[in-house]
Amino acid sequence: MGISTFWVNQRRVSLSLSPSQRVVDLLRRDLSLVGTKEGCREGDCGACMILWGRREGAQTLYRSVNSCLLPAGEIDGSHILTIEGLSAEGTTPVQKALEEAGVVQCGFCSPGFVVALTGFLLNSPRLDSSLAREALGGNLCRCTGYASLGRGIEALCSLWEKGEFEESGRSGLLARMEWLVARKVLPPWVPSLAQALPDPPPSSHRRGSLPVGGATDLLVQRETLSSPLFLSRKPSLQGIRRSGEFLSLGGGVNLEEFRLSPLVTDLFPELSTALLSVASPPIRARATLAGNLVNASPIGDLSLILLSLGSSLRLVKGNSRRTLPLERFFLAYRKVDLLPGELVERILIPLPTEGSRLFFEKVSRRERLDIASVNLSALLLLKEGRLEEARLAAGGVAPVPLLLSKTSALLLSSPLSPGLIREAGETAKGEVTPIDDVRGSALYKTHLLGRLVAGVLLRLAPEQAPLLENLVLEEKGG
Amino acid sequence: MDKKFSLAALKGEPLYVVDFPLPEGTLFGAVLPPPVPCGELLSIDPSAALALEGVKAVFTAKDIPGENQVNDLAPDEPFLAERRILHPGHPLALVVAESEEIARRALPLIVVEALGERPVFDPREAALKGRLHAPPEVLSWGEPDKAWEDSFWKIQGRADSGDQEHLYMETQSALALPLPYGGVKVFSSTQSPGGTQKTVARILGLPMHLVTVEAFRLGGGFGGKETNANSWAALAALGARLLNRPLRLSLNRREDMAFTGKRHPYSTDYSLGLDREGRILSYRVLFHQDGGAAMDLSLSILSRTLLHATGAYRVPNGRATGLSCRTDHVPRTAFRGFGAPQAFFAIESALFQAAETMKVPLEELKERNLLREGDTLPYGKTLGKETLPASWKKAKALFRWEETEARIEEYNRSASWSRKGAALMPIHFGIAFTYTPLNQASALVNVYTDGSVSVSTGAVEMGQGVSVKISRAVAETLGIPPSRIRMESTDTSRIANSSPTAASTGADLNGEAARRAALLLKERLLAVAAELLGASPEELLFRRGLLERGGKKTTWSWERVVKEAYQKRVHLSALVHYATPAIWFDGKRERGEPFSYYVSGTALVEVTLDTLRGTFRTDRFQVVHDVGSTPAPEVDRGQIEGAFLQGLGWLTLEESRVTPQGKMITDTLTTYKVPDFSSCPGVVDVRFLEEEEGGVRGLLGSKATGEPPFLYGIAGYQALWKAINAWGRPQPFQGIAPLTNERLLNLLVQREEGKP
Ligand SMILES: Cc1cc2nc3c(=O)[nH]c(=O)nc-3n(C[C@H](O)[C@H](O)[C@H](O)COP(=O)(O)OP(=O)(O)OC[C@H]3O[C@@H](n4cnc5c(N)ncnc54)[C@H](O)[C@@H]3O)c2cc1C
Ligand code: FES
Ligand code: FES
Repeated sequence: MGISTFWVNQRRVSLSLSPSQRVVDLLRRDLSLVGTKEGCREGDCGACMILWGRREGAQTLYRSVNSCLLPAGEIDGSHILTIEGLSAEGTTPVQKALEEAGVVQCGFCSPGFVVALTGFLLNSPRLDSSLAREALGGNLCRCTGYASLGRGIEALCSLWEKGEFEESGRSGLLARMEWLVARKVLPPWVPSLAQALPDPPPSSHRRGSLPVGGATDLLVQRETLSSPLFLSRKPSLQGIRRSGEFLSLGGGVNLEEFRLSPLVTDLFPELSTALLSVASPPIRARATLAGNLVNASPIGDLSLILLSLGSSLRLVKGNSRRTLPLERFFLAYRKVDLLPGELVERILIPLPTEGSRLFFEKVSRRERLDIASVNLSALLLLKEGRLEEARLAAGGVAPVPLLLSKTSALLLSSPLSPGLIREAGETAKGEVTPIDDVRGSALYKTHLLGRLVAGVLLRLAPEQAPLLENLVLEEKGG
Repeated sequence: MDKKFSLAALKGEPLYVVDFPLPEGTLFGAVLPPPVPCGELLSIDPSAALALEGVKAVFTAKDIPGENQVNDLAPDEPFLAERRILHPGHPLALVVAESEEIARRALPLIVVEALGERPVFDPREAALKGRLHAPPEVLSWGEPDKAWEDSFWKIQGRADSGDQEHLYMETQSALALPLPYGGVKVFSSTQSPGGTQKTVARILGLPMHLVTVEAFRLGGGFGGKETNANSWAALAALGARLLNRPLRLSLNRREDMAFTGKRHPYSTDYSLGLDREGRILSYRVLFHQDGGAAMDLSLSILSRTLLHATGAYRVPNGRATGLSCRTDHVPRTAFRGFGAPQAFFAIESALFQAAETMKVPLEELKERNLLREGDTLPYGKTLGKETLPASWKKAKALFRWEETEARIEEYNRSASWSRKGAALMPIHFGIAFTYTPLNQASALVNVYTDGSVSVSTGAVEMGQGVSVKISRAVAETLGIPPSRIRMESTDTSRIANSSPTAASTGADLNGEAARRAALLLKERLLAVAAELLGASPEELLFRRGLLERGGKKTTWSWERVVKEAYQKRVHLSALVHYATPAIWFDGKRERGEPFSYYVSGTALVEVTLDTLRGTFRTDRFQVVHDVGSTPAPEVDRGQIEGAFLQGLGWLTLEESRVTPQGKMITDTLTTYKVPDFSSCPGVVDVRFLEEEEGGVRGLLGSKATGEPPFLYGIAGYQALWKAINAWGRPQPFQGIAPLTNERLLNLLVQREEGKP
């Protein structure tokens, strides 16, 4: 416990808080702001959505986040905007558009949708309805079937001139804020408050403290965090930069930062779309790459991607550092080579060979915001009909995120053909040991893996698709 | 939707039960589930829990002052487990503490001794063991066996549909306040304040007039808060009464998903006989309903299944047999559609299989057998004016069915690793409670001296828009703007003996009662006005809050007339009771007129299947649906769109999983998936059937929309099957649901390997 000072809507609050208390409880119980709802307490419904603003380095960011997974220890010096704050000056154009589209049935999900759409207007480069739909990927509604929400989004996105909207965001968040204030999307007091936000206090490292990235895994697994060390405030763990032959990612970098970083998308253009299938926008704004790795879930999406990219980790404990190839980091089911007190400081991705491409495949029960049944990432270099590089990693098929070394080797052995694609699928099936669980039977996962191997190869070489189909459908029947 | 409410909701202003400001000294409850799925309860030792600081009490069955029974009809569901643990969600004890956290922390400290038994989770196994909630229910008409013998095409098969979690966004919750003279007031998230009141009274051993239950708008219900809300309200009331302190009990998502009942899975055997041209001659069907460990509403639900056994088709001979099987699941309960979706799923599966066998297009077969005016339904009702054929015809034309079929055929010839399918699906759904006595309602309309109006009925608003429909009906009747009307909460002390808000009847019953109350008030007020103006009442009416005489405005406003009426000591409140006329049902003979009218419509759904990954997308959902002359088209549109996606979720996505030991492994939103924005069809196109004359209807000529469109999900299911069938070598149809991605891939692989 310590005194924290932060802002909620227009109000400065100083409170003694337990660092692991969830912000949703802080809002609802301590501050009686019950417009923020709780539907699941696990980041899966979006009823608890808030806009969370804070200084990060030189910039101020406001993101939609799930307050049920936000530990109060993170909010010192930050600004929380709830539905009450957004509505303080009357009905906003977001609310008006949604009301007119008839999106309210039981109304329980409604505040969350308003917050998420406001967050979209704050952060989106473009006023585009498909981007707006993606921004609502973390919000569930059981009543409406979303069609009315779709209509509300269309209406909202045609309220203003698209070029003007884009322009308003060019010179940073504050300019966009002013633009939105002028259009009554945000209350007038937001920009000045945002500007005045202090740097968050540095986090103090004590012996035995628990490293906390985005807490999106930790707070699902446990009710409280004892002696947390918030990594988002450790400068050495931040940032994405080129460093020699590597792309160096901080251990505190979150998934959305990674997804949108120009350094990343320049090297791997497919990645920003592929990562839309990972969690939801508000979760991605919190969840870190390092957390995904340390978690060591066999279906960790980022674990696979980073494995296929041939990444290594720089680990730090006190003043001693070591570097480890990622595949050696995963020891056994949810067991990693990490000493007590050791941190993932940087993740190093070797710069890819010119012309190589990254593909990511994920099949889950639901297309969005779901954990994979099987997922697969592949770094492939095709030259004149032949693979010169292939590095495939698969999830959900072994106790750890797995490099498919035999399959990868096989793919280099002969020119790409339907026969080779099939053989690669079969080889992959032979490399893995899936189990029956809630994400599918072992047999299903085996089949799926073979097909996802084909999936990445067909995306690399679409002309093979009809040939492979003929092979598969006609072989047995003759 | 009600604009005022909608805006308030978008600002986060409405209060759901857990949002209410708490009275000083409120305590919190948590519920102890059993350590075994079912079996014998030997002992409960709460001493360690009681020793935890902040814990006030632990209550078990022996603390119940009244009757330890949840069920109103037959005593088969002890409220807190006493000697037998009935099912994995059966509450054993209530912990009361100073905070929710402490109460939950105390739960594992309670030591329970129990002897577990191997649970029976399969309804067919239960049936073989003779474990039925009631003797089989049989509805038989014509000469089913002879007609079967005479049939040219004989189709036999099986259809299995799964359960479904309601997943209302607001979990079950109740806040109970002790009242003087031993009474209790409960704010409950219940669809049935009357039922909740009765249950609380029974368990506390109180007369009903000492128990008041009040419900504000719910954060979703879908049937899951009809009987299912009662236990939590009763637990809160029990603790509040015994400790004489306010008590709030709210399930968290995991508890809600694990402890509360879901939709009934059905496993169904059918034989469908058709003549050479594809006219249905005989349909014999045996439903194994998985009722769970206690009967709850299973028997009523089974009745609706039987009444809807023939779907939207003409079936001259048939026999529908329903077995309500007593498995060891948490008792299954009401869920949008109330047994009809399972019935439709079965006959639609039979037709799908028939079309495949006969090698005729499915839609041709459907069209040939479509219900029309003059047809007789299995329970002897002859259909009057019928809108189904018109909706079918319009849907085919408007949505270009023939072109769709041709385009898809072409697509499936040329696409690689992708196939499309589309299906047309007719629905025909009877509106009324199948248990006739429930078809009554009352409404209390108060006009205050400033002219503002409040309306109380037995209907609970949970997002279905019943309050908008009622307030518009009252506004129209009184001739005043809707803004002058406030829809009140649903409170048992204002409206007694109300039926649950269910069976899509909420607006029809309560709205009609309210309309009649408004009519009475209007007559009284016009009489006053007539006297003042020296006119006859027939010359007068209110329009937009102004009194008109002979079609011309007067200087009298609604408010002024109300004030005068008060001065003249005219009664400005009206309480009116309404019972749906002309419905009856003879349960012994299974004959009668159980519904006040039918809702019909036809949907087209098109899907694209990724045959490599075994995933699909819904390209479009288009529908022509009969809503009568609706007072709230935007409400109906929302109901249709929402119900469809929920229906599609039931058949393609949602699946609960319980281990053989009875542990629910899909008790979170991480493991149990409901449709999200990515599941929404690319095109959603809802058209209302504009028929000049639609026969009997409900409130102001409208038709109920809550449940029927749920059935359209089946169109998506059939479209998906057609896409599967366009892949690889033909394999027989299997009526299995949900068609999850896992099932899809397995079916695709079978079609590649050429073996079942
Ligand atoms: C709604 C929801 C959806 C999700 N969807 C997906 C999905 O689609 N795909 C997927 O892969 N995962 C998903 N996850 C799982 C999880 O959020 C991710 O794995 C996430 O990347 C974890 O990161 P975090 O920063 O939140 O980890 P935290 O919860 O903060 O930490 C996880 C573990 O890592 C340790 N840790 C964190 N950072 C470091 C570091 N730098 N050095 C040493 N140890 C560290 C922590 O001590 C802890 O043990 C989802 C989670 C939720 C709640
Ligand atoms: S409560 Fe569901 S996401 Fe936070
Ligand atoms: S309106 Fe009820 S959950 Fe969205």
